[in-house]
Amino acid sequence: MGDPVLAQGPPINTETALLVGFTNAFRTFNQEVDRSGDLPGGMRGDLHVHAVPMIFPYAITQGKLVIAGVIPYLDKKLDLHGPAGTTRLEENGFGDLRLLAEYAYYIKDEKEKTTRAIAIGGIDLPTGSHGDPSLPPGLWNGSGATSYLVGTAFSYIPPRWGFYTDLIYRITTEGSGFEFGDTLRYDLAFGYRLWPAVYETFPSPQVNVYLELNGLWEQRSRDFRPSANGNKVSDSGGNTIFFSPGIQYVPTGRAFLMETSVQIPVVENLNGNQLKTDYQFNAGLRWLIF
Amino acid sequence: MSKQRAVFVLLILATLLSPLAGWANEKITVEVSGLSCPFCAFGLEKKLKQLPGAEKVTIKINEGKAEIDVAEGKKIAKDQVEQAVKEAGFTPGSVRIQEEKGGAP
Repeated sequence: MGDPVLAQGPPINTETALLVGFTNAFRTFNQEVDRSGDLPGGMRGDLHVHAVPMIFPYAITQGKLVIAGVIPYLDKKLDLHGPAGTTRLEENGFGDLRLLAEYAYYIKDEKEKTTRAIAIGGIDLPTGSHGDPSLPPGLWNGSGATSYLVGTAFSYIPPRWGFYTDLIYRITTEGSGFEFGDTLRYDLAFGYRLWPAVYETFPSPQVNVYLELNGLWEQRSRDFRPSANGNKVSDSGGNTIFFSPGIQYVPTGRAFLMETSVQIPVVENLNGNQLKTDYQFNAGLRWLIF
Repeated sequence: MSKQRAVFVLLILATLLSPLAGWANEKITVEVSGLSCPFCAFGLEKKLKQLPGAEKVTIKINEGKAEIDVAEGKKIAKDQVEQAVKEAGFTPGSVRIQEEKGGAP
């Protein structure tokens, strides 16, 4: 009795298997992505993406079954530097709508800790604008195609700290003459309640810190437009791992938190000539609505 | 007349002294396993407050317990408390119901 019990929030860039707390809620964050590098044809590119995903989870059964809708607002700017000067390509608007379901198939609640695992399923619907021939497919707001997600997440949360991991595979299809490659997302996160040292009575403000490794493997894309004839795009796909430290502040201890993290690529093996990530930065909030 | 007077005095005394006999309030303590984040506690607090008769809910995270102060004259059954904890997404442990005697203000 009296040992400092669990109490930290969910990780920032990794899924949590604990389907309680921030369900029946709203989450959003501001994501800035900067990429630069050499492109095919001797060009050099600088890409800036500003994304604001809006996430609405809803608990069908608290702790057991949650559904969610996710839709991002995107603003993409690509500067292409070549011998003749710089050309800017840009696109903005809402991206594809993602519908998710998460089901907890393993729950082990003990005094001062919990261990949980969930299955994840989802579908991305092609609601974002796509197919503009004047833009490279990577600048489209949407993929133009339906994609399917399947995955799992595991969380082990003893007193004051937590371990989280997830694996999510996305199966893509062809749309607007282009098929983006399948992706595998793999994440590992370690969370720690920095303050207070002892969480006594709810509600209490708190500060959590996170160290995450966030990985993304992407298959090569395929171009089915007349000029490409279904060939794989050689300058596409690859594997990137980000190191992502973050901090989370719960001001009142109740239904609202603020969080931020920076994602720095520590492994970036990309096929051919592609823009490499300089950094990614996230800052956002989560709010329990009802 | 003296008998009537005695009965009258007794009636007056009974009326004045009956509040001192006191009333009973329930206090329920339930152990909760898996309580691992403050937002989780928020969901549990909401579920327990929805129990008819629940007046005040205190969640002691460092003890893994929730306490419910029940309104005077109301009762909450043990299985109602266990069900509320389960609906909040956690595992209930032991439920202890204490009656606390009150008195005249």
